[in-house]
Amino acid sequence: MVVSLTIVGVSRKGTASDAGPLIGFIISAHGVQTSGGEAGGGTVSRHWKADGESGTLSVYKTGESCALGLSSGPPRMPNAEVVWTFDARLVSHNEDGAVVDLVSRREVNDTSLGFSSTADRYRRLYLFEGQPIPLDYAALDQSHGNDCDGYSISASMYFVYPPEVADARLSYDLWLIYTDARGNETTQRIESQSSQGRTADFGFSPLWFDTAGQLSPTGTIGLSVSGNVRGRLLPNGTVHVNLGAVRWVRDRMGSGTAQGGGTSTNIALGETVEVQLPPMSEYVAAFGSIDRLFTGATIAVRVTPRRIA
Amino acid sequence: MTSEDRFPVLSALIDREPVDADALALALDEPEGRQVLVDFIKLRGAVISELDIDNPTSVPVVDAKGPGVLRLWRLAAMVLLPLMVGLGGGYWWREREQRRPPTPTRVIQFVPGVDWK
Repeated sequence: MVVSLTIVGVSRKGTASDAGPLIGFIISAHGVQTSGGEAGGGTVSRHWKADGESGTLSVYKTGESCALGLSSGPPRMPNAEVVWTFDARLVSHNEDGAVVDLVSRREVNDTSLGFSSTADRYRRLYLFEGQPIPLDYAALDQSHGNDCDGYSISASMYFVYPPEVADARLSYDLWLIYTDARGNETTQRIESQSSQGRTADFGFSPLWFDTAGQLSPTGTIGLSVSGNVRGRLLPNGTVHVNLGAVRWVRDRMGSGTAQGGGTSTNIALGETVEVQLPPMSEYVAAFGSIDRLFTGATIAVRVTPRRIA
Repeated sequence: MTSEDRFPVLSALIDREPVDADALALALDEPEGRQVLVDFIKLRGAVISELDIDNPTSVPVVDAKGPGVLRLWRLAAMVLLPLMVGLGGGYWWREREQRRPPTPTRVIQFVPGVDWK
């Protein structure tokens, strides 16, 4: 059984009239069944208006059920079989995420469960929207004879958007531009869509090269560029875009290496920004280091965000 | 070198002579070529006015259907042909632009060891 705990906080930079996004902090808690499924649980959140605000959230287990209860505040049932308490404080936030200081503890009142209480644990969490951080997993002693494996708890954050952009839907015009050493361009275009703050994955078709580094549909060296893009439309009409890219170089058997990175920037709607990938230096077992084959070649991804709803 | 010398295919098109489609595409690919086409169309309009095409004596009667019908067909062709060429060229140009990546206003570089690993 997995228990997941998410704390949601809201914070705003500047004055109260500033239309910047708020930040939500969430704790999610779930029981994990031995069959692999999730048992009962849920999420609980706190909303903070400014950096420095804090709050307590708690999770508790009672009875034979694999489910957990959650509350925004101190534990409602301090004598429950297990009680998790999370004291969280919003340290800071920016356009990419939030920093939260967290003190967590687990109090086990039923020693037959197979796990024990913990002392206070202090952690500084660097949270990015949509990327939960595991906080605890407590495995149940299977001699209990039920199908509950344990409890899982995690933390995450999200931005709270002003109404004028909260339901925005964005499209991303994405171009892959491979330029060989002689300046010849090979391009591909794809379009991805996602709602406000959500991540859209993308993947370009592989390019194939011969062992001289020349483009060849029957070549044996494959170059694939994929990644994800996440945008948050801001009230001022710009989109804060996080772009992640992975470059995978491989042979026909799929053996190769990958490199990747991520960056973020504000882009006006309809504006195009190019993100250049570093020179290729991957190692492919069948060919060794490939940098000598691609000297002078460049790979770039261009992204143009647009609002479609 | 005159525009006719540089873009003989456009001159031939205006004269309703057979033209090579690839040569026409190359000519329309250049801004000057498109301008020359527009100039030719304007010139033809001016010439038609000066010839007073409505005067029956300036139009040879070769069609059994009568001079009125022939004149209408010629007038329609003179108006519609350049229009269709212009529309087709514009569509071709737009499609071609959409196959090209947009020009970036900014360039960001991944830096190995910093934001690229």
